[in-house]
Amino acid sequence: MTLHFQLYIAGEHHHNHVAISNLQNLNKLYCQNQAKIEIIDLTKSPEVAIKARVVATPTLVKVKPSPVQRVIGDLSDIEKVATGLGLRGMINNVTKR
Amino acid sequence: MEELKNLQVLQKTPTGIEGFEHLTIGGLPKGRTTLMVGSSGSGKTIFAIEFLYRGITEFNRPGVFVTFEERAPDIVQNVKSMRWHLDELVQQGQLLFVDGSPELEPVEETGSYDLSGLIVQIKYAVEKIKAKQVVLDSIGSLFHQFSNANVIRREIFRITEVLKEMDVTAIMTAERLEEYGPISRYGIEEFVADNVIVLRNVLHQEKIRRTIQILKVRGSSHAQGEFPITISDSGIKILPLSAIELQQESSDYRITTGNEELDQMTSGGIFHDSIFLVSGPTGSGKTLISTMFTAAGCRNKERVLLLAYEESRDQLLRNARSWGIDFEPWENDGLLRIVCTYPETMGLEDHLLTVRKEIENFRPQRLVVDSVSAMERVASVRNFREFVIGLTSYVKKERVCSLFTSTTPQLSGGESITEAHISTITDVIALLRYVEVQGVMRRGIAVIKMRGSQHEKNVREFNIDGQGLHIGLPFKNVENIILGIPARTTLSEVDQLGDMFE
Repeated sequence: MTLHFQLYIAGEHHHNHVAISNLQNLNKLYCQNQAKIEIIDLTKSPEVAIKARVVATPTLVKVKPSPVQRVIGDLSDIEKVATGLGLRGMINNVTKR
Repeated sequence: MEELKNLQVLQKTPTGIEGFEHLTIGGLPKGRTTLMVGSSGSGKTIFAIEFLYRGITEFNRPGVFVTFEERAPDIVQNVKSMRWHLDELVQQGQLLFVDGSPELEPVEETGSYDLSGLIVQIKYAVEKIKAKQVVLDSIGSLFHQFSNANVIRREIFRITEVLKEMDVTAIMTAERLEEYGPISRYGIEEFVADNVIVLRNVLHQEKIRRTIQILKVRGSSHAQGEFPITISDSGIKILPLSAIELQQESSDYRITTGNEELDQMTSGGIFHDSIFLVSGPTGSGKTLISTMFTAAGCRNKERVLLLAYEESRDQLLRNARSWGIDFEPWENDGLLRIVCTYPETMGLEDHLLTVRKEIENFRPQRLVVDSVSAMERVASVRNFREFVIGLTSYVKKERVCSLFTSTTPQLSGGESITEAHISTITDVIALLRYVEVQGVMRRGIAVIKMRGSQHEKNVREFNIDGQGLHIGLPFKNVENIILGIPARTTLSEVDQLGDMFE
């Protein structure tokens, strides 16, 4: 099973950094660090913002597996994000410490 | 204090929307955001699109449309009927859509966020096509998409700041729930408070009445109050009734009323750019005077537009024939255009627009409206007054010699609403009255006002027969005909009067 996330951020605002570290945590806790993660700074590639229709930042897009889903915010509630994106089924595969 | 130097007077950006520049004395504040609020269906989106479209096509200002509600293809399609081909403007690189419409799937929110993604998109779009104008429609939708209203309010403020920095003129639309309630639903006006325009859509006496009000525009003056607007397939038109200037060119050129004696009473006919009001009770001869006036124009090879609000075409033609006048050949020659509409078919704003369109297309030298007072019954007094003022100022501006008829409610005469609202704007007023003298009904005519000219002061008797209207001698020894309460005076009183001036 392939997992693919895109995280859209814009600039250096604090919540962008929080989102990145939360996403990495999420990957570790629920995806065995197996997910492909792309971090896209829209201030550096604004045309992507238009194409992907990103209004709020940070926005996390789960590209794979389908369906494509979005979560906005700094992902501070990792559990809620995992549930929302249907990653909880994979929790068995993760060794809890 | 360095930054306070070199500040200039706020400039205006013309919109190209008919009547708007007049209302705002030049257009929208340049480089600023204007909040446009209105209930659903009040025309916000159309106004915003027309601003963009005319800005691009008439003023060469590239524009960005940020949509939070409808998808771009729907917007393009919606205005195709107005022959605004937004898709072509997109292809020419004059227009760019930023699509901020909601995702179909529900979106989770967790933790802190802002709308930097949107701001990045707007900045990028503005820079890409060197846009000078931006529309955001409608920001209320952002409050549905995102749950943290405080963040959204703050970000909307940030967007207006970004737009100001980029020196683009912008319109931001927002919904409101009540026509005369709080300005907008979300308190945005506290942030974007410099310029606020309100569009309204009120059901009034079973007719839709649309208005626009410039609530405030910082640093400049503008017309006060609500002004009627119409939305048609050529866009929005604002009818700034009181603002239409009276650019009259006075002229000594007189034209015939179609009746020799009436020409005599008016010292040789009425001025070619005047408004002539004929008022009287039903059956007193108003339609006959209109018919003669029409015929006189056509005989002189002038174009005449005849608007009938009370009678059908067939009735009109038959009436005219009974006085020996045949309208049809003139119609065929393109000298005469007869338009029959019933007042109930549409609201007064649309009637006014129709009249203006007819005048624009047909370019008549003479206009006959029979009768103006028919409109009284389909509108409130205020609405009617606006119609009358709008109509008269327009014909004045276009210098169309106009004859309006007005039916007084009582058979004996008296004042009608039309007279009350129209009499100060008209140049010539003729009153028709029934006069009962010793048990016999007779008809009287008087010219009570004629601007810039002498006129006869007598009340004269007239008859109507198969050849038309014949004005005879003044009534003698009868008083108060105009007031509708004729009374005979005794000879001795007349003698006394005669003595007074000897």
